Amino acid sequence: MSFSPEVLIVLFIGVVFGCIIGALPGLGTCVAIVVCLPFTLQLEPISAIALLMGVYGSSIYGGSISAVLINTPGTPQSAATGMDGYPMAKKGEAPQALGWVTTASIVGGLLSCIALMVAAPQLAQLSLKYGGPLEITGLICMGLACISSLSEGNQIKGILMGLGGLLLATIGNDPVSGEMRFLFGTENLAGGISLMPVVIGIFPLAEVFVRIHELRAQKTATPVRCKKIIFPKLSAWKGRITNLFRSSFIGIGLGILPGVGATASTFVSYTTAKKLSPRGDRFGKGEPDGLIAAEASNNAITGGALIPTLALGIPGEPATALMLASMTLHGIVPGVRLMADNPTVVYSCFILLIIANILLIPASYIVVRLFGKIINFPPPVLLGLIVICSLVGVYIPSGVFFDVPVALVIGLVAFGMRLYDFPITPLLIGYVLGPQLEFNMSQAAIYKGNMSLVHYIGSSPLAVVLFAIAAMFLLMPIFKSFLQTTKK
Amino acid sequence: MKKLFLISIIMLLAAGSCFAGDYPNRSITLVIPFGAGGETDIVARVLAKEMGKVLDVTVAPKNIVGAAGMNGCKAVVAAKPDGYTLGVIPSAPLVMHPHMRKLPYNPLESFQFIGRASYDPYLVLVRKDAKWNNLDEMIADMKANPGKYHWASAGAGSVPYFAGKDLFKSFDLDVVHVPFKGDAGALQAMAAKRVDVYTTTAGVLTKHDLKALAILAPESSAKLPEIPSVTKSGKEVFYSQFVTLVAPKDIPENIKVTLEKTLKTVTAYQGFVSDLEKLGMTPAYLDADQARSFIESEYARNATTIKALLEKK
Repeated sequence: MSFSPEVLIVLFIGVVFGCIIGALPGLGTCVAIVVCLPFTLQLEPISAIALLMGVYGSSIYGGSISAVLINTPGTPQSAATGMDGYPMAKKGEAPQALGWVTTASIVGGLLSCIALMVAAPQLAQLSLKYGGPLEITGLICMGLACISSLSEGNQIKGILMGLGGLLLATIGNDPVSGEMRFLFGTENLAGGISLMPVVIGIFPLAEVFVRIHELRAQKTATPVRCKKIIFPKLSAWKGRITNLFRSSFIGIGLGILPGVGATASTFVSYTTAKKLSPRGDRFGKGEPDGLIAAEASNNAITGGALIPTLALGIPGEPATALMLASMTLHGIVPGVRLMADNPTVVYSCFILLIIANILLIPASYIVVRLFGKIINFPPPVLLGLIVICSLVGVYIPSGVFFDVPVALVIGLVAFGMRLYDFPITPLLIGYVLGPQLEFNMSQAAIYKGNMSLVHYIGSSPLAVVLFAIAAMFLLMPIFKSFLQTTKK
Repeated sequence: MKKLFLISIIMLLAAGSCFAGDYPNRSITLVIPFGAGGETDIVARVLAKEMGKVLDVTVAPKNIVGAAGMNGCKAVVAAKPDGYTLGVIPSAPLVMHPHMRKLPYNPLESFQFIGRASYDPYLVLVRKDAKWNNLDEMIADMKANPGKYHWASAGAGSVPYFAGKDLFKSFDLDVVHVPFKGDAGALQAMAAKRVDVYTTTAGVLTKHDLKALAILAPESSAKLPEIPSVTKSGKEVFYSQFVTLVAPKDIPENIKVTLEKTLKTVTAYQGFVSDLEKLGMTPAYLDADQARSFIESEYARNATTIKALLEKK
């Protein structure tokens, strides 16, 4: 197994490219990989894998750069990062925020690579065993219950938005029976509303509308300036290391379970950190703990999602499905045989991903400089750029023009929500998790058959634990505010 | 001066696109009605690469996803019939979906078929360590234990869904259906022992620990001669995955002939064959007319089976 310079160069190009595409609002991981696919066909297998690993690992990180600097997460997974990253940037601490983000990402990514190297087959078996519909339903309930914690102080509106997201996800066809719902007479909605228009409507487009509104109301927006990254000193890490490791493990664990995805993992990690951190009440106002929690888990997902992809041939998330396709075309057949027949490939993937994570450091310097200049553009130019990237990002993955007006409508609705102080993230959570929830619940119902509900849930201890945690996430904040109001 | 400059630019651009040169003289778009990374997508990308070499222009794959392939098909139907927009369409949108719901186009009438590129019959798959060694054993066991076993489909309305439903209805078995989202989910559940049977093409045999009990075709295939046909157990349950190259209706005859020849060359080319083999698929070229009769007969056959299966609801 030789690493020619070509492989490393391709890896570095992949990392920078992924970072940039991830950072451009609206584009994101899947677009980055799809754009690379034709190139991978021309490259040697190892170089092709290098390109894919580079792009995959860095695009998620890139999404966080724009989340912090312009409050428009470039990828859905970075939504949680912006919650603390942007407030920090507004306080003038953008370089430090990016420092936290970068370090947490790299550590999360490296930890997941180590997990991949050390325990891929075992973790894959675990994912099979515990990836059943009941357990995943429990996990998703946990993810949905995060809504309650994320909208503390504003619970009713938060839960309403979450429910709204769930409802929005029902448009299209029922996953079990295939019946069409809520088409409103047009077949354009037959496939449901895809993820990209919703993510782009909620984040970049709504942000653009809010800024336009602020400009016209002549509110002086606090300028965000960022010339470089300032990495946190070692002393600043005191008391935060547990958070870092825990968030990484949440990312690895949830990445293994196919379908749950990066978005859910970042919110679960964020909420857990909020509850367990001594600085929990500063979350949302610019607390590094929140950044660490979000970023460590969302980069840790990369290694986690590769585990079922490589070891079982079953993609852990959409981006890995594309990687799987690319590898197949190169004659690398992921699956139960891969470890046995082609161990060099497997270890190359791990090592390339590790190097990709490390290469994030130089790449981040380049990209942050670039973005630091871009955010200094006059608002009309910057906002125009964001709108163009966003709409292109909506169109590229699906090729369906209808998605573009949908994104704009959702953007306007999200703008209205922000004006009236409705938290917007629960909408995303409800929307992303809704289809999975319905699907897994329906499957669980099939397996339950004629068993009593208690008996069925009791048959899986893990599910019981997950539902219990979900109940806690959901009810504790409500309980807390109830106690506070009665104390008054 | 400025006006003259502008006008000449415009004319040059316009002229560029109606070059009376030979076909093809610019890049061709190959519409793929399914997502990047899926089976259809990979075959299409391989086709695009090889066709590009033969025709000496770029053939650019373009994914237009949604509504189980309907969006992509619509795009091809609506495209200009000048040979610069083609589509790669698998079996389901052509011969199965029209019987399930009203489509805004008629697959038999809205497309000009250039040819068929691949054909793979479905297999009845169980885990390698399952106790059944042939289809008859499985049928007997299921008859003795109604409701005990589960079968997977790739979702309501997918080809594995109809294949499974037809199979179990033909043999009069009570097996619980569990829908999944696509192959990946079903295969994972198979590995995790949450379902016992799945139907799909032979491509999965190399990647996963599965064995095939029967092939859902009139005869065993040359590639897998040891797998008996389902007819040996007494019923005709035929399902397959095939991939066709289509163009909008009414493309000029000479362009159609060029494309036909290209497809024939590509599907015979060793690189294409081995690429497809890596995916576990089989090149199976049929020219435009043969492809049309093949599709029409599949369409008619599916009309009766699907209507019957859907009625049971």
